[in-house]
Parts: sequence; structure tokens; C-alpha cells
Amino acid sequence: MNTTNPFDEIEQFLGRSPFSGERTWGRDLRTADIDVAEYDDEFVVVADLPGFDRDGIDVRTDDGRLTIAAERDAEREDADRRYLRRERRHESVTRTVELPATVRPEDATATYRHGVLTVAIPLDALDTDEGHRIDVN
Amino acid sequence: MTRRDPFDEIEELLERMGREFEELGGTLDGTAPEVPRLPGARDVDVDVIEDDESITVVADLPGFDADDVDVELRDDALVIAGSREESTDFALAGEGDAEREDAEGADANDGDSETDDDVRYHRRERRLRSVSRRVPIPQRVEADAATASFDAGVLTVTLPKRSPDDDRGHTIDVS
Repeated sequence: MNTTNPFDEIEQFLGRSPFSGERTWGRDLRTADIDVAEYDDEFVVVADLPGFDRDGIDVRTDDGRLTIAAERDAEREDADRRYLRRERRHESVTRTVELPATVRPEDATATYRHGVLTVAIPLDALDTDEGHRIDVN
Repeated sequence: MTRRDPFDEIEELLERMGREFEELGGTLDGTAPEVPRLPGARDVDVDVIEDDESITVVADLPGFDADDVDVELRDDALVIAGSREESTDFALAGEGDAEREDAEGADANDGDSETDDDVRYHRRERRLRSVSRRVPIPQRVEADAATASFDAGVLTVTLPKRSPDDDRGHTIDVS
């Protein structure tokens, strides 16, 4: 439940970019920082996505995974405009989270405020599925 | 409770060391070259962009309100600080985020202590404490003409460059 796909991590580690500057100390500039919390009745993912529009954020569940993708317009750089420092994450970031089997994605809600996305997905209580109990008289 | 990733701990340690280095650098400001920072030690990610007229600093401060953000031009550096209550409670940052506007303060805290017991954290990567960053500005700028805006967790500060004439002091014609 808790594990992410190891191949994702390797892929992220190797990266697709030719520049070593794309990664800084274990931090992939193409992903977002997230908190993931599981409550009794709710699974909550909070992602830092500073500087995006609501329209630029895509949240979907598919096959037991939650995928968050965000995109914004690239900032231009030309001869008159030089980056003296460039640490902020890329114009396009994605992040995938494994979901527990008991989620009800159809009832999920997502809010974006102050550059933070919060996705809350209700969980079915486990013990409702435990079959029918027959009283012994 | 949650099992902690040992690498998180190492990263945290480095981050703390880096902050101390940076603080040291701040006190030595002006007398020594910038103290090297450890990679990953930064609190706030910034872009610094220079064009003909100005230097623009763009800083990521997700989760902060415009009121929580402080910007100050101090000597030759821009100091950016975001402050919030030192609560590291997830519920406050996550669920509370949407409600914080309505139920600020006491109400939010009540809810937290309840949910605390039966929550399991799978990941905790976000920084929930107060942050600050000192960004050296490599050129002389017009402090009075600086402008700042804050939108969707991103701070943008524009510092117009001082025209070279202002720097030269008074020129005396040689006849």
C-alpha cells in the first residue's frame, strides 16, 4: 500500500534531461512535494504546486492510482533576459500516488488554494464487507 | 505510527546545517564572500532573472497568504520570509487549508487533536514551518521603486536597476 513503483523512482532518478542541473540533491524538478495521509474514512493528498492556474491542473484516478499533473506557460529566456539563479520547479510537473483498494474515487474532491492542491478521497469502511452475520439463538 | 525514511532524516540534518551556514553568512554580510551553501539546504526556491531594466526575483511560497509574507531589501540582498504558526500538524495544513479562512484559530485546533490518533502518513515531504531566504542582488537597484506581487503561492519582486549615472558620484569637469 505504502510503496511506489520502484521503476518510477529509477526513471525519475535517471531523468530525461541532459542537464545535471535538472536535479538538485535528491529533488526532482519535475515532481511536486506531497503529503499523503490516510484517515479512517478518507485518503488525503496535499501537493505544493505554486504558480499554477486551476485550469492548468489535472487530477485523475485510474487503476488504483492518483495522478496529479500541472502545467503553466514556460517563461521566456532570451538574450535580454538572463537567469542568474534557477531553482524553481519546472513549468510542468507530475506526481503519482498509489491508492488503497477501498477508495471511492467518484466521491473525491479537489481544491487549489495559495498554490497548494488538496485532494480528498473517501474510503469505504473495511468491516462493512465482512459478510452477513447470523445470530445464534 | 509512521516509519521514517532514514534518508529523510539525513536530508533534514543537511538542511539544518545549511540553515546555520546561511545564518552565519548573514551575520558576516559585507565582510566576507558569500558562505557556500549546502545543496538542498534552501528553504525557498527562487529564480533570479535579469533584463536590461530590472532584476526580478521569483520565489515559491506555497501555502502562504500574502499577509504571511515579508520582503525586505537589506543592503545588497533581498530577504524573503514566510511565517506561519509552527504547527506541523498535517490536518491543519491539509484539510484545514480550505477551512482556515472561515474557522481560523481555536476551532481548527480542536479538530486536529481528534484526527491525530487515527491518521497514517504515507508521505510527508512538504515543509510546514516558517521559511526564509536571503537572495544576494548582484547590482545596485532602486529600492524605492521596487514592486512585489503575490499570487498562487508565488512571490514576484521587481527591482529596477539603478542607472549607472547615479553611481558615479559627482563628476568634475576638467577645463
